[in-house]
Amino acid sequence: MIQIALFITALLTAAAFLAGRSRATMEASGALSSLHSRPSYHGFYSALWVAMAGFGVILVVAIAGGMLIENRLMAAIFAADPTMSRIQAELVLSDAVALTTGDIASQEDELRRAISDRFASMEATRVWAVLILGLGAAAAAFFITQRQIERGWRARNRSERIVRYTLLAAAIVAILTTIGIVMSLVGETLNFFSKIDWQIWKYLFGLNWSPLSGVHSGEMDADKVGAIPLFAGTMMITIIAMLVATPIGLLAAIYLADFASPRVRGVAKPMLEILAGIPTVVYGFFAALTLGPTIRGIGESLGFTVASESALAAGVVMGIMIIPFISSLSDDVLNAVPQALRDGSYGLGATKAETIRQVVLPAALPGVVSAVLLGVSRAIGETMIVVMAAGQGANLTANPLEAVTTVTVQIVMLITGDTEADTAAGPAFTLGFTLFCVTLALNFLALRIVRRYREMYD
Amino acid sequence: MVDMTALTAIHSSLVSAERVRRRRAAETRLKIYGIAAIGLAALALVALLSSVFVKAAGALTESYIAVPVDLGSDKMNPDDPSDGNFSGLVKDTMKEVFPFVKSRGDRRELYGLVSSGAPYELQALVEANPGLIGTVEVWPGPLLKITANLKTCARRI
Repeated sequence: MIQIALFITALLTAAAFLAGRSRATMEASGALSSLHSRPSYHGFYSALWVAMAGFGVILVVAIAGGMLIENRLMAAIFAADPTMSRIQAELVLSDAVALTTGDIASQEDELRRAISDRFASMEATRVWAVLILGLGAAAAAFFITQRQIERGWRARNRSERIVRYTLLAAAIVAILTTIGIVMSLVGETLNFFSKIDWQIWKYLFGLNWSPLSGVHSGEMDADKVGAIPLFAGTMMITIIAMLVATPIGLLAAIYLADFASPRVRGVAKPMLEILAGIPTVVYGFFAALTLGPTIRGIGESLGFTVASESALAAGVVMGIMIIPFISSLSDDVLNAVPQALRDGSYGLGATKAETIRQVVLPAALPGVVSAVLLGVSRAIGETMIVVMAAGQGANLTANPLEAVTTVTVQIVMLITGDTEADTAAGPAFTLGFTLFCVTLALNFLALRIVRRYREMYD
Repeated sequence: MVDMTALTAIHSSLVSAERVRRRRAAETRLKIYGIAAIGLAALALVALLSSVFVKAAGALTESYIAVPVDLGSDKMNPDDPSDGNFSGLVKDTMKEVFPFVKSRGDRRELYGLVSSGAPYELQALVEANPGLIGTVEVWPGPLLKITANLKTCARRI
């Protein structure tokens, strides 16, 4: 029934557009230039109001009605049996709903049948209310807006104002979502800190990470939530990845931008794009199953002890993953440097290499730095490769041949494990929040650097 | 007015020739670095894709052993082809082919060479062709499937 109401409203919207347009044309009686707004704006204005009134009322009445019914029935259940706990009452209610709709209820008794009958009648009322109120609102909007149409009616300005407010609402939703994410991070973080008695320094500077082993009666052991090993592991893998990705990406970009013939470019660019298109899971099991054992074999033949899950394997593969980001972004940036700068440099007798080193790269520096930092933030936030290839145990070491763990891996472990959500969420959200702060600081720093060294040519 | 011959003297001196040579070398180096970078990226791509494809191919291929199976009438019931100890027959066949396998552990490994479905495949074959009973059949089809331990076995042999 509610679907029918939605469908009719959609039809009314279309009808409002057509009716408004033809009515405006009739008002103009042949001289369209006498209208303030073009006929389709009149139609559009009317259609907008019909859609807003119709869909809005249907949505509000349907949701509010559902909540009202649930409240009433819960009250009725508690009135029938005050000893019931909330979760039992919810079960009775869902059974009653199942009885009405013909689904399978967990059990059937006097109370459930009574509630079921009440639910059936209230639900019918709700559906009719939705239908009548929603369609009534849509029809009212239809007639009111149609009556307003006349030569001087400013339909274009009014409909554009509505569209503008819609766009504003969309922007506000995006901002509110961000705020909501940050708020939930902060809330869970504070919750976690209160569980370790506000010994925040033990989280920030502790060397021992094993949060769930210290849980007893909801209390965390503050000595086991030291995040240093995780951040050390993240940093090590990020550094390895950037050591691989930055030189290769940047040199490839320089070659592609300034040396390569169109034919080489036509081959090399798509190749790098393929590298960018490979899913991170594939990189992950490549690191875990191919590169990790290979590195172990090489290391053992040289006399090193190498874990098959090593920071090196994860870092190198992550670096390979980041190459295309750095190369394609730097390539764009290098190409964006004005040709006049290059020509001037050549004119003074500089070779291509000198031009690139002393003119093009300084001019492109802000873009190159931001490309590298984009790579860094991807490396820090990357999860799949490190989950598979870097290891799970927190291990504070400076040796890239050992298994280390990262912040993201630990968040995965906490959230996908079978620990109850209340306990696991605290450390996970706190790690997430710390990671967020680190990345934010990094971006901020990068912006400052870029601004300081920017060379303005235009 | 600039004296062009003086400039020529500067630009064609030995010192400047040496300088130009070094500047060109620097250019070639940068070019080589660029080619090496792209080559490394290509190498990584090839390594990644080939590793994926090679490992994926393993899931799409099957291996078979072709061995003579003695379907002697003493082991089969010519009146009812489905009546027979086919799993015993598979084990006997493997024992015959590899007579040097003696100890219990080795025997178990030997039987592990063929898939656990082999007796059923053999049974289906005999049911479909009752005329085979009493013959020695070399079956190159998917009768005895190697599942695992091929490497271990090869090493022992």
